Amino acid sequence: MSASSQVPAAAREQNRLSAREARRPRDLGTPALDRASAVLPVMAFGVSAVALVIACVSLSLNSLDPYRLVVGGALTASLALLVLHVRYEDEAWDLWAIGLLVASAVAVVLLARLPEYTYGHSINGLIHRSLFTAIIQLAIALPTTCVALYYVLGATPTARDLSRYPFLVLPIVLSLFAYVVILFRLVQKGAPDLTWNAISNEYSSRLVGSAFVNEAGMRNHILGTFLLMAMTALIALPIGVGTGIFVTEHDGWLAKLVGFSTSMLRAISVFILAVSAFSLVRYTGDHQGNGVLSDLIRGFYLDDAGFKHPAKGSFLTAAVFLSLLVIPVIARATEEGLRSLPSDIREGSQALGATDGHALLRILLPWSLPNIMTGLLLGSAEAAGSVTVLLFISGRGQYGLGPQHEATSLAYLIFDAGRGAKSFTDVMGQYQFSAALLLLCITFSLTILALFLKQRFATRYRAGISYE
Amino acid sequence: MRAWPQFASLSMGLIPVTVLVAMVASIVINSKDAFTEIGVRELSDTKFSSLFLSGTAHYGLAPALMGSIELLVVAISLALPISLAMAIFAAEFAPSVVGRVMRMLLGLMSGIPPIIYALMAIVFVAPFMVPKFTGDLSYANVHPEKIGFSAADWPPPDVPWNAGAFPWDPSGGDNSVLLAGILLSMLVIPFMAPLIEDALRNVPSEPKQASLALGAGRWYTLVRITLPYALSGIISAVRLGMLKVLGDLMIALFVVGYAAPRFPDPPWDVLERTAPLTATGAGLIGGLGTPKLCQATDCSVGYVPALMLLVMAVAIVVLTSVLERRFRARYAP
Amino acid sequence: MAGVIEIKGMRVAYGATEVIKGIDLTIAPGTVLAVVGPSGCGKTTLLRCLNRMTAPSAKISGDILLDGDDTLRMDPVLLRRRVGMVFQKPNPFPMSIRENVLYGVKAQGGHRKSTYADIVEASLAKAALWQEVKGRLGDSAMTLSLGQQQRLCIARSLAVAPEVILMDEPAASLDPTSTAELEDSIIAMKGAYTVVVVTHDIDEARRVSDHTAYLSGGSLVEFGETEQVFTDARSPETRAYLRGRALSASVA
Repeated sequence: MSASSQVPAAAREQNRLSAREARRPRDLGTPALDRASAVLPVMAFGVSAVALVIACVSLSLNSLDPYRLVVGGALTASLALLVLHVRYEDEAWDLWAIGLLVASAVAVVLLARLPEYTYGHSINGLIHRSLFTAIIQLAIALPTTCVALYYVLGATPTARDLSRYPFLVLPIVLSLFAYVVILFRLVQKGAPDLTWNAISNEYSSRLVGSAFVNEAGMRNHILGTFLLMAMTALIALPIGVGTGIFVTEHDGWLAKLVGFSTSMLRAISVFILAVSAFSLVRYTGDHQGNGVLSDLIRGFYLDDAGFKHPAKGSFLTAAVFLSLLVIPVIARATEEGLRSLPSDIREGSQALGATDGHALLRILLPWSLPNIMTGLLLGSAEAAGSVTVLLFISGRGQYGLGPQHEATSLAYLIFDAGRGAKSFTDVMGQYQFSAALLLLCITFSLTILALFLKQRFATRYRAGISYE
Repeated sequence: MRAWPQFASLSMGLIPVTVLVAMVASIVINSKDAFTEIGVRELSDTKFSSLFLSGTAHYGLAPALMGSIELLVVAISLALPISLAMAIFAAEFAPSVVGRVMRMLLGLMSGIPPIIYALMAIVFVAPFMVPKFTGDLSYANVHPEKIGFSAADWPPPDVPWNAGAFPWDPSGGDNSVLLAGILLSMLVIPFMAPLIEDALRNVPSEPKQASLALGAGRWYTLVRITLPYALSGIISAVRLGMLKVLGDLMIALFVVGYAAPRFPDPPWDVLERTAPLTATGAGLIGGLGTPKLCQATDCSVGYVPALMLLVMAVAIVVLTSVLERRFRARYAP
Repeated sequence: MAGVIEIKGMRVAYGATEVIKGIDLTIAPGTVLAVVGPSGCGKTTLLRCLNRMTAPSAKISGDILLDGDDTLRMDPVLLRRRVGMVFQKPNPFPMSIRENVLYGVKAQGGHRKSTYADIVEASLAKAALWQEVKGRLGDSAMTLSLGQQQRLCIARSLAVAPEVILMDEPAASLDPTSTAELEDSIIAMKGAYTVVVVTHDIDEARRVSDHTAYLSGGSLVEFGETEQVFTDARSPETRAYLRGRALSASVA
């Protein structure tokens, strides 16, 4: 026999009451006190927000070890929270608020006993005590601010949703700030050295030890970057598009295998690509000596006397391995483009008797062109910025550029200018940051172009069947 | 020849397959010597020192493995919450204009190559290490006493050879895994956040509507309904992040260096200078401007970290795919 | 007097298009109201205004009062605890049957855990589902048939003790047997709940409802007791619609 069909009247009544009034504050007796305590949520919010701001500032600026001051802020914030809960009859939360208070007190004690610096076993890394303080402060002030905001907004369920905003917004603001700091400092350090000379001069070994250090420049590296990007695009484009077409247009185990290995090329780290490049070069060196293959793969340079020496790696090799990085990007973009083709167009062209090649050239590829372009641009940006792949096969480009010359690029210069041999860093070390700035400009322009393309052609898909 | 597109695309498609196989094979073959000559026992040992530096050659790679794992943990535990916050904010709470702007900004940030993060690691050192308001960033403020040593004990025993840089130049001396992890998380967030946002947007609206109609608030709906549905997408985003962190060389190299001299003690000590597998491998192979760490002209040991990385990458891909599939089946739209 | 809905001069516009052009309507408590009309006449919009689940771009003006409370200025979350909704396609959560029923209860809080079992049983019984699932409350809700899932959705809405239940074409995805079971449960709700059902099936409207409202082009053309509307409607448009639909239903 089922339970009675009487609606639980008490539950209904509770719903109606809670709909009419949000959390009702406890009656304090005198109207003056009531009025005064109405301002309590705002005060609590103010205190918590200030504590939060101090914590953020402390995180980013690392103030004068004021851990007592700062944790005092946490204590005040949690006290405000406790008062709020007591005032608003929220018994379930009282325990939580008391716990927060106790946690703050414990934190004060622990921090007092911490030495000013915390360090690893061999003092390779250091953390100042105020970092811990800031983090604890943040952990306490953030929920308190959210709860105080909840009461300020009227303690309704919608207020509860709105009061979670600080919880989301704070990590976003802090991390965006971190990116801004990096970019700003990069510009600050790199811009002064980015003179016309720096771009138009080139590095050559005769400048070593010379007093004319300001005769050195980044030209070879800049041109090398563009050469690498062009060669990589040339290699990666047909292979990437072909792979994308194959994976989309065919079914079966082979297509799946190809798709899998393409994404695996991306998943295995760039370091493994670098190691493979190195082993290829070394293998050529061991077994091919001075043959044509060695010229192609290892590159060569001519010394002052005109003798040919093998280099660390040619532009060709570098471009081949960089394209391994870029092919999956282009393949994926091609795939997306092809899949977005409305099936009625595809079937229509088949019904008209078009051969596959015809359909490919006239319909599929033009349709996917924006996607392919976007993939190409993004891939080129990645090729420009890659250092790891080039690490073992690049040099200083002092002997010129060409598929068989030693590979070099702006990105590699950044690495070399800091870590290279002293003779090199003496001359080119000054350009480390300006090279980075220049590289960033190149990468950003490519990325912006790609994003713009995506935006421009995104409307095509949204509208469904309107073709631009 | 009517079938030329098939032929062309097939031949193009086979290239990634053959290249992948060739690369894996070359790594396996090249590292074979290390296993036969040095043996698995020593390779998994915790001592690592190079012939050049200390006179004896031990090639224990356990510290390097620990370094990679520590980096993974630090970077992902920072990147995941922040990416989640960004994605939730953009997908659920913010007006669509703000969401689009954020997406474009993230797209832009994802174009920053890792070497730039590596170079700018230095701007993050001061906030952690040295108080600014107490005065200038000079030696006087970072005194051994403040760290608990007396000047006579400095440098402390068994400190690696390049620690002489610190503490006498506080603006240049943070080599901890923690710093590298922070930078790696900054590298990875612009890739993870848009993926998670897509996963959130793809959650079917019917369960969300049902939840709202039952009187659950937006946050409750988000946590109980939207996030579980988006879980498979979140896992694939985490997989991308993990693979990127695992394979990164530049940031690790610039911050931590290329040799993991000892196993961190205690193991979770992220303030140590524990180089990950990528950096150790690069150090063993050479070409970093410093003498390479192994002494034969072609050391096979250099390929062992690459092999280990390969295995780890495959393991991560397999594990996350299994998880992803499980959640996708359960929460199929 | 719980569950009285008064609609006064309600207008709804999406941008420049006015979808609902001035409706005055009072729904008596404990009765079932069927809302019928041709496609695009605004029935679903009207329904969704009652629990504030319209699209964000909708602008609603006028008054909608629930027991005298202004629903348009109330907190929507609190409103939805008094006005539940069942959707066209059954959409149970991918959880167990028990968890589905308890979802709203847990979301609102304030109920003791000891009452959960009673709430589950009572809600499923009211939705005429208890006998069928009482042995397998822990099973996933996705294992139920469509008809059972829809009744689960009803049970879910009933568990939070609302005053009003809104139904948007609840039998649209169901086969005739499940439809019959659904209609039985709607009739069982009379007296205890105010129910508003939007439907294309006018036979169902006739079977189930106490009052019928005919909407056309966003205006309320006819409203009255069901039998009166079906046998002798005032407006010729209503008569044509009902006859036309009845004709096509009997022909088919």
